[in-house]
Amino acid sequence: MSDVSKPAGSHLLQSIAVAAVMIAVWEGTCRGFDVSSIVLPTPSSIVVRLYALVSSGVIWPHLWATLAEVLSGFVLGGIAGLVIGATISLVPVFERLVYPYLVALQTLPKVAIAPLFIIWFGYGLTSKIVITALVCFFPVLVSVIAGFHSTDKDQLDMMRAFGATKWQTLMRLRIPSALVLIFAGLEIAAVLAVIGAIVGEFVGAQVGLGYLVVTLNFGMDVAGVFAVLIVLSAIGLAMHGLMRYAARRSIFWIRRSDAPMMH
Amino acid sequence: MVALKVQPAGGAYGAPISASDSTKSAMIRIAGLEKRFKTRSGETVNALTNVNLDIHENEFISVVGPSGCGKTTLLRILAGLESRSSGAIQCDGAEITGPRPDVGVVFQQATLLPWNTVLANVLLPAHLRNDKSEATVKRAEGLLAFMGLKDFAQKYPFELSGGMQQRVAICRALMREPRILLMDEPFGALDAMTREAMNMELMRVWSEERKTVIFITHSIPEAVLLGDRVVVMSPRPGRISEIIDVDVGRPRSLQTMATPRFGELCDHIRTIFGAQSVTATSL
Repeated sequence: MSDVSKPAGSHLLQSIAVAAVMIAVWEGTCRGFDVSSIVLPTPSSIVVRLYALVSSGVIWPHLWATLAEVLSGFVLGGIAGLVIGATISLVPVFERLVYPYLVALQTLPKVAIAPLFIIWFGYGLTSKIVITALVCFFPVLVSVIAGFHSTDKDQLDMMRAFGATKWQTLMRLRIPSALVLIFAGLEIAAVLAVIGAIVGEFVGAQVGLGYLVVTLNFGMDVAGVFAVLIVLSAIGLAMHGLMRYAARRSIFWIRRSDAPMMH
Repeated sequence: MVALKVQPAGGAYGAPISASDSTKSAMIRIAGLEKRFKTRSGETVNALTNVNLDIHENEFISVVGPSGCGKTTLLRILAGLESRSSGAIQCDGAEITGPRPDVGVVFQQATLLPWNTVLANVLLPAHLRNDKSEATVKRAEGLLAFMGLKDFAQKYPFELSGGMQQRVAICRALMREPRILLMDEPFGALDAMTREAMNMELMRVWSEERKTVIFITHSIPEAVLLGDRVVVMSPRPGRISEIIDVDVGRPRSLQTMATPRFGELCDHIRTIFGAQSVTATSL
């Protein structure tokens, strides 16, 4: 184990060193060439702006709104994807009847339908939650279907040879087998959830980090925009980390290097 | 060529009966068994043609043959995992129509459930019948101890080597105290050293828990070392070309493989395969 953790630690140090150098170059370039803060603000001014947004309390209502949209949308879209995906996988009739329409819906760019949802569900959180759920739905759906198809043929034979019923095979083999790909889908959905919420807010909102970006951008507060972007990427990283943690606990038998996951 | 006690392949007129066991009636009787597959292009492939074989209780039958000779298909039909096209396949006089509770199967891959502990994997056949009694757990633990896996009961399959995983699979197959053990190239994926150790292990198991074993392999020495009789199969179409009595005493060990008789038997089987490939190329 020690031979694994040691390089991992030095990798982290290397990453931090690279980031530090890049930030220093960025800061130096902006100051040295006197780059306009509207074009590219200095890292230090972004940090100052972020601190101001946090300490003044301006950012909190926007952060909570976006977090609520991201989490509710992810949960709703995830559940819908799990339920419909499982139904399609286990009831062959549904695969023929429903799946083509779901694929057709998937090919539609969700950004393009966002304005419709604002009309249908209003300017409040609901429309953003629906958009987020829709964005999260497809990766989960596809991963559930792929997951159920991924059951090992030899293991199916083994279950049959030992006299397992269909229900026992489902509970003891097919569902646990499917989990590996389902978690990969959930991980993708967790990151897409942030995109879904922001897209919804861009189209029409009164609150939220996406709305804040648009407002700050309008006011030429580029340092402020960067500050919000840092918060947004923190949310994305947190969502991703959370799913990774859940996956590592749930599908512990898959070694990390083997897992078909997003990196 | 050395004179061998070799039986004819059992033509259209009845199954061959082992001379040594002719007094006992067969436990498993395979008569005129055929299996045809339809390929995607619509062609019919004869996986098995006119297979006749009588297997007696507590007999160890090795089935050896090149890939495509239908030996795995034969085992799958015996396990009730595959249907036959025609012919009869009976166990204790009853047709085999599906998986039977008195049959244990060991596959080429260990096929352990990776999310279950070693103990839970061994207990699987019992759990599938809702048997969660203390005695059952004791038996599973006993089997693991017998296979030298006592300290691994709470480990997960991915923490075990390939040989250990296959030993767990054997424990699982023995869990329901089957009368028949079907093994489909169980050691094919193991390295040569582990494989020899597993052969010795299997003979130890068989001497302790007497069962009827049908052991599929593509290794001639393995087939001769383990089997009371070796069924030699040949491909296109899959059929039995010879059934050979292994007149080598037991207990056998790895030293047995150095004896002249062992070498003769192996050579003879090789000759059968050699003759086939010559015929194939001359056609």
